[in-house]
Amino acid sequence: MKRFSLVLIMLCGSAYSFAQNKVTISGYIRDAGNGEDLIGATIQVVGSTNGAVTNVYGFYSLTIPSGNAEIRISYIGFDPISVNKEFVRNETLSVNLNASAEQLQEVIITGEAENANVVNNQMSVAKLEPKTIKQVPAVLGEADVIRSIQLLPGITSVADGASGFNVRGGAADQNLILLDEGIIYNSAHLLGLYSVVNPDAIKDVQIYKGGIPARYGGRLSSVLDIRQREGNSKEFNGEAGIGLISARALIEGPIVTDKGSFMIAGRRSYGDAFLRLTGNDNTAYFYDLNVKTNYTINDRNRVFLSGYFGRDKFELGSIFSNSWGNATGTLRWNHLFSNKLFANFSAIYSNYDYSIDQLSTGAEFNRASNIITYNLKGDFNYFINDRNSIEFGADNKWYEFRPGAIRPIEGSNVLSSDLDEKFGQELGAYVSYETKLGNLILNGGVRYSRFLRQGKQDIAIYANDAPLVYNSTVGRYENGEVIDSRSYSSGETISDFGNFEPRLAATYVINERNSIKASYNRLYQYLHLISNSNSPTPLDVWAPSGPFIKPQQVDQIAVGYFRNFKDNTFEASIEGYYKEMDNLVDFVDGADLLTTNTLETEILPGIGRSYGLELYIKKNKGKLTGWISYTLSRAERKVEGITAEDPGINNGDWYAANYDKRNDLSITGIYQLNDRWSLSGNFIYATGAPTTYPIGRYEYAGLVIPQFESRNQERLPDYHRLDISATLKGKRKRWKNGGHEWVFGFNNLYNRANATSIYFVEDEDNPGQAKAFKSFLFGITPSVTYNFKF
Amino acid sequence: MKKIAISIATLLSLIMISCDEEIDLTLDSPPNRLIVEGRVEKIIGETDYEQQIVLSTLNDFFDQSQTPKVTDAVVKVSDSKGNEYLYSHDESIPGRYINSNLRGKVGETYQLTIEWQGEVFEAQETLISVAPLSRVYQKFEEENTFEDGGIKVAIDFTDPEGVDNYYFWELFSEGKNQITADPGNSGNVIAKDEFYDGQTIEGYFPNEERVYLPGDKVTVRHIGISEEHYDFLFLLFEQTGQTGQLIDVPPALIKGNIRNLTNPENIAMGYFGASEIDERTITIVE
Repeated sequence: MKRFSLVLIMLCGSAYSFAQNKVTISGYIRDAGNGEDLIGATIQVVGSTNGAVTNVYGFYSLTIPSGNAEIRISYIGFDPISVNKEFVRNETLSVNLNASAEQLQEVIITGEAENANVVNNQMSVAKLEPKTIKQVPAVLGEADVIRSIQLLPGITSVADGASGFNVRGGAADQNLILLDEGIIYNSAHLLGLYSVVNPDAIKDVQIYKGGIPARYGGRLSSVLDIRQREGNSKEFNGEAGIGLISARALIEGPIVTDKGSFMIAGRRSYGDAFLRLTGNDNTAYFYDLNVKTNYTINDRNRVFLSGYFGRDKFELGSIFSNSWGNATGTLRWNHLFSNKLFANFSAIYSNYDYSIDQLSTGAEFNRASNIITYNLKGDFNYFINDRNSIEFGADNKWYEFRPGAIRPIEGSNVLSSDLDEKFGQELGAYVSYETKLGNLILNGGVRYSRFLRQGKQDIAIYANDAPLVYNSTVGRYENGEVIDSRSYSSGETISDFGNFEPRLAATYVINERNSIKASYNRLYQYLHLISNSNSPTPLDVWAPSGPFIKPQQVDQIAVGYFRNFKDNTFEASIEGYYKEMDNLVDFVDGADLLTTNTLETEILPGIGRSYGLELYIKKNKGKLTGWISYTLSRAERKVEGITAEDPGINNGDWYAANYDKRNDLSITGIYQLNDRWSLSGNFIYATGAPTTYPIGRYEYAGLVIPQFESRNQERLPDYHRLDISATLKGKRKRWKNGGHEWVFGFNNLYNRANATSIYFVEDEDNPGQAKAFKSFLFGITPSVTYNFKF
Repeated sequence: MKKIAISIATLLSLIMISCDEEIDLTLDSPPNRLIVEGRVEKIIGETDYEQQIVLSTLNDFFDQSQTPKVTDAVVKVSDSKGNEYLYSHDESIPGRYINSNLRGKVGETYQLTIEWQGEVFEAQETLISVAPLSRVYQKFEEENTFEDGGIKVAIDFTDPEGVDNYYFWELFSEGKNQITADPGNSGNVIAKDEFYDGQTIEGYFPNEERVYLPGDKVTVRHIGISEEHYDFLFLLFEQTGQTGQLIDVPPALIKGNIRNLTNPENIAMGYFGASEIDERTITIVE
């Protein structure tokens, strides 16, 4: 019982005629319901292997022999459309697809073409639909993007409540998190319980774990590319929800029907209200605001303006207050130079800041820190013909690091102090060429990245160029001796790094259901998160490469076999990867990173390696949908000393990275029981994270001191957990757009106390007694959420 | 003079449903490591006092019995003028070696030598001066999220301008060290003048955790320490203040300034300090 409707906005001849016997068809594929661009929709010439896929702006370009042809446009969850006619000249063919008439028996959990995973020349990529993210059981019912992607193979985190995530053995600062191209420096709300991405406001989430395309650069391990909704260009809509953690609302609608639209979404947690009610004068809350608007000037030009503002705030009565947040703004212009040459130009601003007010009597001070990024970029897609295409582009980022100023407040006698401001400029230029040779698709690319560390700054000069020296007589690292310093004027180059980053990807399509893929990428990273705790905190500072910190580097190879079964009902893949990383930043024991002006005196360079096998099987259609991910992997680090005689970390031997998990399994299932009830659940099992146990204890300064002699040689107990949730759809439509629903859930159903850490302390009540404690976050946690549309 | 960033561990525990549970573990047996605790002292205004060095070894982590003491070592301290002070073992307190002749001098470099089990251990430290206390008094503090309320001991002093100063405070009452295993120690019982250079510090609690009742006698030891000594104590207090949160610093070996000349692989723990000390005792009143 499918209801078809075809809406062609434009079907008009174009002025261009490119070749005598070939014509180029190009245009946008959109959702007929709300006018949103569809990313990854397939445009296929029926009866041939010739086809195209829409890019992140919904644009495609397809060159075919002139004459009669049937073009089929499809996107999962939407009714496909066929256009059968004679194509004699270059044409614009923009198509709006209608969402499949709601089939109550069926839930579809992926976008794109049904076998895109097999035939596209991109491996190690995962895509999550906001719809799926909202169906996965969530902690206290608060759907979360970054928690959800951890259900995919190769993506883990240090522990429950850790901020950030780890991809294929990479550190949390090696993920490039982009929200409409703006860099998000801290993805955590409430110190890691939730992430900054409001699932209501987003359209598309893609994470690249390997084979990273040449258009991306700057971080070693992954790219999390999040695109916000453009807003409904047809009619005004709203949706809202109330949960235990936060209340949310979204409004969208046309500015000029079919020409321009806007979307505005907000979310605020209200844990602070509960604290107040219980007579507690402490406060902890977050909010975020997503806005986007776009306007189609004509069929060659479209502009977008989007922004994100998020903030966390803590107040501890009269002694401490702290806030941090990200802000990004993106202005984009899509321009069609011709029906074969698509271009996007963006101007992007991003700012991450934090501020602490400490209000202890007599020592009141404020400390503020931020990192500002300005970015200009241009990206071009040139669709040469049906077998060849080129992507190229360039971007330039200007960074301002303001790591901290300390100011007395309320008349205290704390002295003002400033840490050095740092400046940098990062240039990237890339080209990648994709060609189809029969069943083989090859993509070769290269990115050239250049990083300039610039003044104004005074740089210390150390004796023997050694900011960190090893004192072998006592066996400790000590600060190097500063013998001089050099002043660099504003804009003067302090350090200059230039690197080529080759990228290769190949897919051999055996047939429509089977393919083999391989990829290689090299990337450089010029920004480093300076953190020596087990998981990043909002107070950690970012530092640029420079005279003392070299750029981090990674080489990754990956191979995989992709196979779909039963008319694409099941998709499956197996991938293996091997990764080597160089110039990772580690810290000498006891480094004081927050207030030091000379980070170089605390840093040891290290190397890393990781390898693993990822199995993934996903059921896309039917009453029961879901996926199983399994990863077998190893992530290790090695930090040797700066000279032959010093021990580095763990005596210079390989040790397990904090996020190393040998086995990692997750099973996610969503079952559509009937037209009102759907049930979902997930089960997670993982090897315990590495940890360090003491080998003894002694007494010193009146305290019991545990003795640790090696790093990460033990394991926490295995992690496992089952979560369930049930969604009940309301019977009647309450408002024009209907829909309201209740979501009930239980996190950690069998109340497993999964250790986030094991730590060793002296019993405060029984001095002299040493004890081991396990700390864990969530026992069984119920949740209820109410969502409605209006 | 608190640590610039208060441990956000406490923040975490406020917002998260974090729980702790004692567990049993089997841990490896410790190697035979010498632990050295002691300093050469110069007590302002005093002429008659004992110097002490305490020697012990590692114990099994969960062994709640007394730490094994070293009673058969030869301990001596020498200064730059070649004076040598032999410490004798105090039979009444095993592991404690004492000398009553040595008087510390600001700026003098002292060398500690220990012979034990056929190995020779050494350490050096230059005696660090301290700005004297201008006042020691009792002060009432309201309870807050981090600390108990009640009568606490407060101090005033003026930090010398233009030099880096590092401080360490010890409180004693009824002969017992008043320190508790607390995450806040690294920002409380030691301090540096990085943000307070030349300032007068008033109303500082050298131990925020201890509350006293009328009649209690409390001795405050206001100790000048070297930067290395501060770094060592900072690590020690960070590590003894683990909270089980993800923002804890990963635990590591805490190395002081003691070196093993005979067999460098067989490391020794602890720190040999040399400090000027201002020592005051007050009796708490209503």
